[in-house]
Amino acid sequence: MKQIVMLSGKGGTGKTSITASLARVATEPKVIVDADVDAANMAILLPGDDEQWRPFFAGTRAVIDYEACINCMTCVWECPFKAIRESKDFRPVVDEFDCEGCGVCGQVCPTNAFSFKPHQAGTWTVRDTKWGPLVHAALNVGEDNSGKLVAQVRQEGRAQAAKTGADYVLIDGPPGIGCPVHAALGGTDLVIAVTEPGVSAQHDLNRLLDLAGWFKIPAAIILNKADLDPKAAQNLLKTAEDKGAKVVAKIPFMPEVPMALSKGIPLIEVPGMQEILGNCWQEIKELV
Amino acid sequence: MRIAIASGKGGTGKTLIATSLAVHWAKQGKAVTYVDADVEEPNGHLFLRPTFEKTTRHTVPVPRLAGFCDGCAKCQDACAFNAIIALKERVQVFDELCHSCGACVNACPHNSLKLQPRELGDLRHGMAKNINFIDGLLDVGEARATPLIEGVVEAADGELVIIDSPPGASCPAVTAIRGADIAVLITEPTLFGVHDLDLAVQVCQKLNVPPIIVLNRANLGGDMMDAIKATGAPLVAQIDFDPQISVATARGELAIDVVPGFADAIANIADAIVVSEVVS
Repeated sequence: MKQIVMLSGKGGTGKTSITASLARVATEPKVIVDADVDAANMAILLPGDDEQWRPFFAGTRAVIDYEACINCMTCVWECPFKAIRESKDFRPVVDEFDCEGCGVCGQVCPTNAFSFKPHQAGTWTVRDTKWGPLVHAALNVGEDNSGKLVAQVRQEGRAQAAKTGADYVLIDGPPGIGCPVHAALGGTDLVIAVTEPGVSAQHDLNRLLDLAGWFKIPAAIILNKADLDPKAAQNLLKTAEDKGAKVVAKIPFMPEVPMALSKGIPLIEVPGMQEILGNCWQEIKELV
Repeated sequence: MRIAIASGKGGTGKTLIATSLAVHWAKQGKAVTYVDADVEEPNGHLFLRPTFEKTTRHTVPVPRLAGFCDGCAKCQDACAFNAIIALKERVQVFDELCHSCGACVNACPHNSLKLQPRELGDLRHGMAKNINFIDGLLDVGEARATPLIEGVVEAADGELVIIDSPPGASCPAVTAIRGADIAVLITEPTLFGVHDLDLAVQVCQKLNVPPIIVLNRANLGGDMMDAIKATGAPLVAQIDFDPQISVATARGELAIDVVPGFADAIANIADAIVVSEVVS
């Protein structure tokens, strides 16, 4: 089983629609994982029936037993996240949004008034689609546990692949190069950087390829909107070459693509894309 | 006034609008600070081209053993994040899991753990013509963006602060938007755009920051007006797709300076921000 992760550094370069399209074009058994759990969009492009959504728990939140609390406010002063505040009626109140469940309040409370309850940070499920199982998730708005939820959906992706005998796990990753990206790319066989011509995408691609190198994972490149600016595209191809990343597809800019995406249709259904992405998938298979 | 430029979905035009607004207000003679809080992939510097005057290494405190250890594991038991484990007469800290809360320091019976700074990336100050410029550059390989975002946002003060926020709806976006007087959410007319816009509006509501919406590439996609209305935040401006803007941006040029008509579109957004801020 080979795990292939689609990343980009810069957001909005086309990761999700290209991943969905590769999932449709690849005839081999596979599992699709939406690892952009903060703003998950893959399910929009791959219709099917979801299993029951399962809760995702991560960490805890502080709970005050007001029977025991003597309103000394030590917790208010000591909370490292300023998540406990004094209310208008002079009681300490935990802000669940800011609380990280570190337990310092419990350490400093003179009357042992604190307990810690498990915190639900999101939900996840497996969808049965025509193109294979899709593991996807929804992190609660404003959460700080995206890396852990990414790890959860990736683990389920591997389990689904083992169960269904899939050859490939296609992972749609988050933008950036921080925590959730590390969780999305650790232990994969190939990073595919989806990029576009331009100084921003090039800057971000550089950092992403360095990160892939840091993790010792080979990288390939899909150049999206390739004809938007020929000079910028040339610069980008040079970056790819310098960093030893093979270009596995060049996709032209077509206004039909955003038009299709506004209706939930992935770019594979735009005329001409079937062949480009079919060839792209062959190249990717050779690399892994 | 502190203005967060945010989006939910990536690549909708946050940096384009944020840098353009900075240039617009600076041209009017206002004292503007532009803050690039997308520390994982900061791009504002590519357009505003500041001269950096001061670069500091931003750090976050993590525990280090600085005294006697008998491997009692009280630190390990106290850590809610599995970031420290006790070995025989020493500890192992997993820096990227540490939330710097100090519970381990409190728990150590020998008072042997001390919080010491760990470097995350660069915090850079400079001037771009008359725009005060601040950004953060997370080290490649570093997972913890949020403390650097906090540092960058806190470093900015002034009458008019524009915070170019990271995408998403989790802690990095929250950290950048928190404390702003208004959030300008940039979206595009696709199902992804409006799905993620809705998340961004929810983030703003949680943080008590009033959101307003700018629809970018308004003519490139479908009719998403009902979905935009359903978020409950007002749509204050629309910008049509113009290949000249894309090409200028691809080349690192400021579209506001080179694309005819774009300065007017930005002036409209600037006015809408000022009006919305007064109303709210």
